[in-house]
Order: sequence, then structure tokens, then C-alpha cells
Amino acid sequence: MPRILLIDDDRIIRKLVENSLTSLGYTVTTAESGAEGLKIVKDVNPDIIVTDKMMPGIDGFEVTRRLRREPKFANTPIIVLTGESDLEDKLGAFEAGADDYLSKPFEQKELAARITALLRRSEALKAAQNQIEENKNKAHIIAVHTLRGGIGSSSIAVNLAMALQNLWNMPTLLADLVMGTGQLALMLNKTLTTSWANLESIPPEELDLPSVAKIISKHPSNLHFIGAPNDPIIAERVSGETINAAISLIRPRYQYIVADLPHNFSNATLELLDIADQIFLVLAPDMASIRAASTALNVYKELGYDPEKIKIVLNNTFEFGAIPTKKIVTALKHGVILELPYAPKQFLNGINRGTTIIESDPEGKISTQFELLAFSNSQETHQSIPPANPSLTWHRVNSHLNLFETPAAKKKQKSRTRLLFSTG
Amino acid sequence: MTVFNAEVTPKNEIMQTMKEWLSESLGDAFDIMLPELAEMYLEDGPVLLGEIKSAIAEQDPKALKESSHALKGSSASMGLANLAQHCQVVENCSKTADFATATMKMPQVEAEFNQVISLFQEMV
Repeated sequence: MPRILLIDDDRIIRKLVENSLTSLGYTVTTAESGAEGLKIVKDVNPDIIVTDKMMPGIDGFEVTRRLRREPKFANTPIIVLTGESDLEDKLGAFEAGADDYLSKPFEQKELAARITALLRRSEALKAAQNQIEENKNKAHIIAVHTLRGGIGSSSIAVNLAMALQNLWNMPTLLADLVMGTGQLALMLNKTLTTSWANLESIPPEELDLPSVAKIISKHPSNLHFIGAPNDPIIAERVSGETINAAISLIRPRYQYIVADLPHNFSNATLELLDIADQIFLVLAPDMASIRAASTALNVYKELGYDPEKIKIVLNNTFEFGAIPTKKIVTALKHGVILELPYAPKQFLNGINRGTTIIESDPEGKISTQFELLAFSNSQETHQSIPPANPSLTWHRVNSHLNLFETPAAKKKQKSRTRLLFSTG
Repeated sequence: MTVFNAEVTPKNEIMQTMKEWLSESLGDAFDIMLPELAEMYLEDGPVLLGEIKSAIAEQDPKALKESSHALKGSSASMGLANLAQHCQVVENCSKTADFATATMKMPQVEAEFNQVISLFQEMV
């Protein structure tokens, strides 16, 4: 039942308005002065405020101004009842921050209609804001998936996660869900002391944040990591529900989660695919891989995933005989977001030495590709505003994409201009 | 010089206008609520009229604006259209501190006000 705070020094008006609005199902609380209204407003927590303009002491305009200064009531609809019909009074109401005005005397039906309209608008606004808040508090999940193993999907996941971490310096988690291999731990040079297996004995509904926090380890880059057990028998016992429950618990704690998914459509895979904001489907330029990718795309379609959510990453794992990208795009009817060059040495070195390409060759072409991939698939709010303390990675991406004019870029531009003038 | 006619609105006409106005918002509750509203008016109205008179006597434009505005508001909300209009004239005088016109208007305000009070006293 919507709550209304009515502030008016005239008790006849209070009585009439209260009677009329109560009969329409509203809960009305009245205050006989601006001061009283401001005193009780927090307790009442109204959905809408109706205030008389002309009152002794604090008038309706001042009440409106003061309420607008409080974050809690910055967006609460306010209607000012004006006694006069001159334009200045009406404009004054809007200048003070009111959403609407009504000249006295007014018909109760008109006030009720305006209240209904404002509440409807306010509800829509609240819903939109809640959605934004909800998204703001949830990590952006990128699922890296393939139905064909051995084509570098884990390398892509680990480098992408590292690029995201380095780009934004924001909480980023890499989740290894390729159970039974513990491969990502190897790539990050981490000893597998904890993994998803530690949660196996806890029923999903009893999982809590501390128990999930225990299985998260930290890489020197600040990238957080959950390893997959390297024992296939133990791995069998970790259910999709457990993984889903754990990810739900920790999702508000991170800005980005990169999940390296099993090469199948198991429960764990489906749980993650469902909640992922983006799916990176990895393939190699060979027939078996294209078939597997086509199968995966069909399943995604059947599952009703938004085609925009699916991005194809092509990893050129062959030196010769690769099927041309154009043919792959035609066959899959889907564009390729990233095409990694044939670079077995770099990928192998990464695995063997436990270091990512991003770390070992930060200025190299492949690192740049991962950094640009990370940027273009970051949350829109991050992409659109330059960070307060931009990272080296951000500067590199910015100079590649020429997005924002930074002080350094400005200086460079200035000296270039000076040079042009002095030589011209 | 503006000369105001001190003729008052007949009670049946006041009642008719008031009923038309209030029934709009009160509906069936009009008969039940009218005595309660009349009682409030009987309590607050004379206080406000007294404040108008004092403001004119003390030539205080701010006090005149507040008191005439308040009586106008209560009267208009009750559907007492003529009395609200008289109060509006007095309120307008406060804006230019025209106390001469306000003084001239007061007998009309008081006459109409007394008529309303008399009608309300019969109800409660």
C-alpha cells in the first residue's frame, strides 16, 4: 500500500485529502508544518510527498529543497500545493525540486490522478535503478567453452583473466571448472592446495561465503583463482549445484569472473553458461573443431541464449593446412571476435613455466590481442569512463583504440602542434 | 475609490455550492463529514479572521498575506467560493501593502464570514 506524507497547516485540507486518499487505498500520514514534516519523513518513509507551499515557518519550497538534499528522498515524488495560480509560484515549485504542483482549491480526484501518475513513473524509475544496482553489484561472467579439448581454451581463459585483472585492477576471479586436470593451477604456477573438491562434502544449500572463500587462492598479480581437482574420481563428486551455489555467493564480491568450462554440456557447464554474461566459444581451424563449434552453437540456440552473448575465438593451432577463417565464418554463420596467431612456443612456454603470455611478453602481439579482447568485453560502465588510476594495460589499450584524451596524450598532442607551427 | 457591496450570499446558496464541491471528493461521506469539517472551521476561522484584522491594524503585509491566504485556503477547500474570493482580494492587497483597500473590503469579508459561521453553527 503506497505511503503518502501530507504536509499542510490547514487541518480542513488535511482532513479532506486524507479522507479522499485513504478511501483509494493509500496510507496517509499528516504533518501540520514543514518542520514536523521534515522531522517525521524518515520514519514515515513515504512513496510520495504532498506539501502545501505557503506555511508559517518552513514553507513547501524549502521542505522540497531540504528533502532533495537527502539522498534517501532525492527521487521521492513531491507535489507542491500552491495557493496561487501565477506562473512564478508554479515555476518555483519545479525550481525547488518538486515533480508537480496543484493550485488550490483543487478537486481531490485531480490530486489522486497526479499521485497515481507520479507513483507509476517513480516505480518504473526504481525498477530501472534496482536493475542497474543489481548489475553493478554482480561480477561480469565470461565463460570460456569448447566441445573439443586440446585447442588452447584454458590458455585463453587464463590470459583473458590476467588481462582483465591488469586492465582494471578490480577483483577478478578465474574459476577452473575443467575437473580432473587441475590445468589452470599449473598455468598460474600454483600448488593445488585447495580446489572445488573441498566443497564436495557440503550440501549446496548449506554453502556459505567463508567456506567458499577458503578455496580461493591469490596469484601475485592479485588475480583470484579457484582450482579444479586434479583427481578425476574426486572431481566426479563436485556437483553443478555446488558450483552454481558457490559462484552465486561470491559473485557480488567480484567485478569479473572468467570460468574455464568443461568440454561438454554437463550440469556444471550448463549452470555456468546460463548465468554467464558472455560465452567465448573456442575453436581451432580444423573440421572436427568446426563441427564441435557448430554443435555447441545449436545447443546454445536451443537453450535460448541471446546470440549477442556468444563470441567465437579462433585459435590457430596449426602452422599449415588451416581452414580459412572466411570459410569458418560462413559455415558457422557467426563472426570471429578474436583470431589468435599460430604461436605454439609462447603458449607452451606459458604452460611449462607457469606464467601467462600477458606476464611473459606484455608488449607482444598476443598480449595486445588479449588486452583488447578484455577491454571490449568489459562492463560498459568500465569501458565508458577512464579509471581514476589507470593501469599500464589501460594506457596501452587506450593508445591502441584512441578512446580518451589523457594528460599524457594531450602533452604529446601539444608538442606535436608546437612542432607543426615552428616548422610551418 | 473601490466600493465593496456588503451583501451576503444566502445560506441555501452557500450550502448548495458547498455540497456540490465537497460531494466531488467526499461522495457518500459528505453528510457524515460535513459537521466535523464545520466544527474545525468554527474553531479555526475566527482565529484567522482575528489575525487578518490585527495585520491590517498593525499594517503588517506579511501577516496579512499569511492570514488572508489561510482563510482563503480553508474556505476554498470547503467550497465557500464567495468568501474565498473576498479573502483573495485582501490577500492581493497584502502584496502591495494596500491597507486602505483591505480595510474597505473587510466589512464584506466579515459579513460573508458571519453568514458561514451562522450556517455552520446550525449544523453542529
